[in-house]
Amino acid sequence: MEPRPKEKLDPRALKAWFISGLLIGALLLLLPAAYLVAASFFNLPVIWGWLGAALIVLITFILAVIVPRLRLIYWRYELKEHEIDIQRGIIVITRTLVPMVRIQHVDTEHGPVMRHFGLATLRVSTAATAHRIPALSRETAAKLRGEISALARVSDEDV
Amino acid sequence: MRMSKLKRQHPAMIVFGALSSMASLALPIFFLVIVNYRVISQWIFPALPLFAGAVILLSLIYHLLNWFFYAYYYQAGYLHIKSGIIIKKERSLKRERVHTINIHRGILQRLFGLAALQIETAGERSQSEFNLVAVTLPEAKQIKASLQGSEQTETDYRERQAVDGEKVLRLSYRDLFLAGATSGSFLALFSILAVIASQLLPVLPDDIYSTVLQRILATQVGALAALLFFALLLSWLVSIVRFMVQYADFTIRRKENELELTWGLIVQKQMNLKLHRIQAVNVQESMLRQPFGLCSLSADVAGGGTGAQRFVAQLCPILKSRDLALFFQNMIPEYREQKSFTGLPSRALIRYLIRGALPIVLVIVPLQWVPYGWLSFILLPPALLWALIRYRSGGIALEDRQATFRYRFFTLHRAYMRQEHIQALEVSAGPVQRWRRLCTVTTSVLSSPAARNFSVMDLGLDDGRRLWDWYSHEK
Repeated sequence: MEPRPKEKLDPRALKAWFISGLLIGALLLLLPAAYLVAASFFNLPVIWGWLGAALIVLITFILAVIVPRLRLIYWRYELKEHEIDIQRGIIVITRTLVPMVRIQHVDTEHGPVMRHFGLATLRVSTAATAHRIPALSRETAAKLRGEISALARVSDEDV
Repeated sequence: MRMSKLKRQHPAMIVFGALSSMASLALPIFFLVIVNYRVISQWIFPALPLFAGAVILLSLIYHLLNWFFYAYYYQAGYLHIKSGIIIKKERSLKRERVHTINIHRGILQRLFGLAALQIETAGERSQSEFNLVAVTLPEAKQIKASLQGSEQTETDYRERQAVDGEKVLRLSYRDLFLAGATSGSFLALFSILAVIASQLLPVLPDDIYSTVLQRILATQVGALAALLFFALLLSWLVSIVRFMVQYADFTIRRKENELELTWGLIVQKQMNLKLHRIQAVNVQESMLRQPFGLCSLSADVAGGGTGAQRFVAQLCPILKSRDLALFFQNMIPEYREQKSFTGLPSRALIRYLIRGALPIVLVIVPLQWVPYGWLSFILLPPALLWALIRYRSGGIALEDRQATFRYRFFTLHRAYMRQEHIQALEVSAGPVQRWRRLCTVTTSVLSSPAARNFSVMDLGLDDGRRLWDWYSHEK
């Protein structure tokens, strides 16, 4: 077992995660906003609305700024001749080993934010499990997909 | 080429037919009686034996004729059936059209020492089934063989080979009794009884309830205890009988590349399990069974089979733990019994103890404000003991291409996996685990209906790495 897989995610992921974190935060802010509007109509205490908004801003800051940086440090992967080695997690760090012969199919996907930054997520599925490597540059993702499907040999002897 | 002459089924067919037509008539008659209760009670009830006798006699005569005119003969690869009392029917069936042939023995057939043969062909169900409901078992097997084997000689050869090389394990009634007695399902039964009782109690009139209960509580605590004991004993006996009926005659047979399991008293079941579909073998020793040196075996099976096979297959409902090695050797030599496990390092013990004590502490602390709340402290020692037992149960073993995990919640589990069946391996560690050089290992195997994971918590990091290298294909 090597200390850790070699490859890192694409640093552009920081921007992409920042933007999508902000978008989610903005959506969540609608909740306290709605409460504040309702409070002005029904004479409810406004303090809870502002507290809620502050909490959401804090969470958004953590999710959009801090977590992506940590994720970029800890998320790693490595494609070897016979297997894929993935490391994920910030607090609980998990290493996953997926042999090529077990891989049933591999695909890439990207949402609007990821697409804007030229990023994509790689998904690898075995008969029993699914694994992903998020935020690779789209060229890398496509290259990996090609390599993996070339290396993955479906063998009838096992399943 | 062996050819049988035209023959009838066993006369018991008359009884079967009469019983089944009466069973199918029962419901319509019941509704007829309910709807026209007045008329029927006036005219028919006085002469009930007469009517019943007439119905039974008519149905017996009908089925006697039916039996008499139902005849069949067969030769290799060919079955011919003539039937019909007034309208005569003749059907013949070629081997090539046969999809499946089932021999099963319901309770009626077993009563007469007979078997039923069901032959399915492609096409609509009513048209495509051939049923012989009352033939002797050897006859049924003969017909099956003649419709399945391409040549009679080949069938003979196959049968002889099976007798030579076949490994068979049949569970005795003593084994099944032990299994039922330790199955723990009596606790479930008992709780059902308790729920029913608790639902009944409030229904009783208040004064009865209070006086009776008071009397019981005041003077007859012993009687109440005896009642509870009796209810427990009863549900225990019932669960034993149920287990023995369900798994009666449990037989497991190793064939060339499959396991054949048959069991059941009232309904006889058969399951053929192709070896290559087994993804992991599990041995369970429940807390009731472990003290008696008993365990049970099951397998995770990859899907894609017919209905009955799409689940975790029970390989053996009861086995002596010391016979495990022999069972593996005879029935599934692809796997090996494992005795020498690498246990958890001693620095993992404290984590198990905290994990075991924490939920109890969360209960105990608020209880300190309640009178006699300090009594809840007696929960702590058993919780810690349980945590200790869990810690001692954890371990892994690696040997050639087989990995074995041992772990416990209440039941002690051992999972035997071959490397080629493990779909992915995870080694994870939280901050404390990293500090203490521990890790949690998880394997995923294919199973039906969903994937199955096996985990061992707080394994030494070095052993986790050893597992990683064992699984890795980069050598």
